Amino acid sequence: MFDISEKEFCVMIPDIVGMKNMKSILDPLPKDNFRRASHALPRECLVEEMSLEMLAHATEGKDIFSLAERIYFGQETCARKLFSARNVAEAVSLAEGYGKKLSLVVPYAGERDMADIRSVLEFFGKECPGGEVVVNDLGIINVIAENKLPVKTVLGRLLSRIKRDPRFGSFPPMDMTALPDDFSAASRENISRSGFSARSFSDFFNKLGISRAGCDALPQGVDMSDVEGFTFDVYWPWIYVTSGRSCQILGADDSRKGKYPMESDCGRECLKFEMKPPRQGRFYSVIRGNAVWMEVMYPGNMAGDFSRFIYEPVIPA
Amino acid sequence: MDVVVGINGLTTDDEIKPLVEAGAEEFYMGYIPEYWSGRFGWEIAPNRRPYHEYNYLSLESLSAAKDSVKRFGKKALLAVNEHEYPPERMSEAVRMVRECVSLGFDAVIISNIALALEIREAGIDVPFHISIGGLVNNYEAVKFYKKHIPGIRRFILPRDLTVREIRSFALKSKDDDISLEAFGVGDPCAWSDGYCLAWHSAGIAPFCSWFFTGDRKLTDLRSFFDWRDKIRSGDISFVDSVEPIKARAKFGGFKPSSERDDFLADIVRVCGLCAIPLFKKWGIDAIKVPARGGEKRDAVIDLVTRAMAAESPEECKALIGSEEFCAGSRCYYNYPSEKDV
Repeated sequence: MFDISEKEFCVMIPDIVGMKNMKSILDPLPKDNFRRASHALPRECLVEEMSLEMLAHATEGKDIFSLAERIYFGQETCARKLFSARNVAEAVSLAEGYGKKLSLVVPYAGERDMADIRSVLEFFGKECPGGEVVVNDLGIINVIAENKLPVKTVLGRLLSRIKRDPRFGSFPPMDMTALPDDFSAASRENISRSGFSARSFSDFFNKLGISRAGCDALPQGVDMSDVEGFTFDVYWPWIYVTSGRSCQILGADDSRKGKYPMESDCGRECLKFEMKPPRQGRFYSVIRGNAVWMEVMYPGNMAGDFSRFIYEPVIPA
Repeated sequence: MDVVVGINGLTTDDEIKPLVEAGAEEFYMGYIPEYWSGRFGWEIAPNRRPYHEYNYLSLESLSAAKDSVKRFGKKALLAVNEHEYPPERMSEAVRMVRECVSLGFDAVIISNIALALEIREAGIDVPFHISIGGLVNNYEAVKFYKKHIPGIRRFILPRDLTVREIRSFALKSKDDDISLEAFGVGDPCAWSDGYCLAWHSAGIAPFCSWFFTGDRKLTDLRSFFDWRDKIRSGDISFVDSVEPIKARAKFGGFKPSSERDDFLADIVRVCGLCAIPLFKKWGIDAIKVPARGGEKRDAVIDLVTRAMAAESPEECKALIGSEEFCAGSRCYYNYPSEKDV
C-alpha cells in the first residue's frame, strides 16, 4: 500500500443506509466471530476487514471513522440507482452530524436520467452552496456550467481512463494464463501514463474551473508526475474496470431481457445479486451493480499530486 | 441514411466492391504506423484496437485502401479514437492525422477532447465524428462538444441508449448542424465503450468477454446483506448464522440448429434491425455495422440496407427469420414500435 500520510482522508459511501451505518462499517468485526463466519462471506466482506487492518497499521491504530475528514456520497455508474433529493438532504445532515465534509458523487446518465440528475444537483447547490460534486459525464458538466449551479465540479475517476485489467501483474501487461511473455518494454513503460499529462487536456478542464480529478490505485501504478494544474483523488481498494447501461445483473435473471435490458424495468436486482466470471485473473473481479470492479490491495507506484485518499470500505455500487 | 462499415488491414480491393454493392456508403479504418508501435509497443494502439490485422500498418497500404473506397465514390474515415493520449502519444496521433488528412480522408473519428483541440491547433481542418468512446450518452454532452470543439460533423450514439433516448437525440438535433449514427447490427459487447477501461489486448480476448461466455456465477447475496445490516446495527449474534451463498441459474441463449442460425449467431451476432425503420423516420443519418473486417460482411450490410427500406419492426424481424434469435439476449433494442416510444 502507498503512503497515505498528509493526504485528506475520505471515505466513499454509495447509499443512504451506508451513511447511517458509517461508523460500524469502519469498525472491524470482532475477530473471533469474523473467523467463524468467514467461509460464508463474499470476498467484499473479507476485503473490508483486510483493508481496515491495513489502514490500522498505516495509521498506527487510529480510529478510521475519526480519521475521515470527508465523505464521498453516491455512486458513479447507475443513474437508475440515483438517490432522491430527500436522501441528499439526509446525507448532508448526517455528514454534518459526523463533523465531516461531503462531496456528492453522481453517475453518468442517459437522456432518460438527466432531469432527475439535474434536480438533485439543483437541490444540492441550494443545500450546500459551493459544495463539491464528483461528475463522470461530460453532459452533466455542461448542465452545471450552463445553469450556473453553485457547486464545485470534480472530475470522477471514470474520466481518468488509463487502462486496467484484472490480468495485469506488477510488470504489466501480463496475463495469468494466456498472454505471451515477450510484451514489449515500451508498452510496459507507457501503460501507467495518463491523458492528464497532456497540457491541452488539463488546460481544457482548468479553463472550465476544474482542477481536481479522481484516479484509481492501479496495479501497474499511475504516473501523474508531469501533470500541471490538477490535483488528484486516489481510490482504494476497489478499482473500476467497466460498466454499461445494459445492466448484466438485470438481464441475468430473465433470458427474455437478455444481454441488453435497456428497455426493461429495473427491479433492483443489483441489491440481491453479484456475478463472477467463469475464471479469475491475478486480481479478483466481480460485477456489482452494472459495473465490473477489481480488488487491488497493493497498487503500483502512484506518482503525482494525490492530495486525497478515498477509502472504499465496500464496493461502491 | 448511410451504412457505415469498418474494414481491416486484411481487406483487399476485391473485397470492398461487394460491400459497396450491398449498400455501404462510408468505410472506417485504423492505422498503426511503425513510428507508433516502435515507440509505444504493439500492445498500445491509437484506436483501442491493438490487433494488427485490424489496422493498416503502413501509409502505403492505408492509402491504397482509401483509394479503393474513393474509387467507388464512397467516404473514407480514419479512427483515432483511443480514450487518452499522454503527451508523447498525443504528438504522434496528431502526426498520424496530418498524414492521413493529406491523403484525402473525409473525417476522423475521435474520442478525446484534447486530441481534437490539438488537431485544430495544428491547423488541420478535417471534420470530426465523435466516437462511442467520446462519452455522448445524453444530448447535454453533444452541446458540450459543440461548444468547445469546432468542426464536429457527426456523433456516433453509444450502443446502450434506449430507442426513446435515440429519438430524443434526433428531435433535439434538428436545429443543430450535426448528423447522428446509431448501431444496427454486429457488436456483441454490452458495456459502454467510453466507460470501458478494460484492456483490449492483441494477445488474448478482451477481459470483458469473460462475462459474456461460459458459466457466469450469479450469487444471491440477500442473506449476506441481511446479516451485514444486523451486525452493523450492533447485533453480532448473527455472525454464526449467515447462510452460505448459493449460485443461481445461467443465462439463456440462442442455440443455432441450421446454417442460417450459424450465420445469425456468428456473423450477425447481435441485432437492432427492427429499430432501423424508426431511426429512419426520426432522421438518424447513418447506421453503423461495427467491427473491422470479417466474413460475409456484404450479407450483413445487405440486411441493414433492406431494413432501411422496411416500413415496420415486423418486416425487419422477417428479414432475420428466427423467432428464437429475436427472443432475447441477441436483441439490442427489444422490438421497438411506434406506440412504445
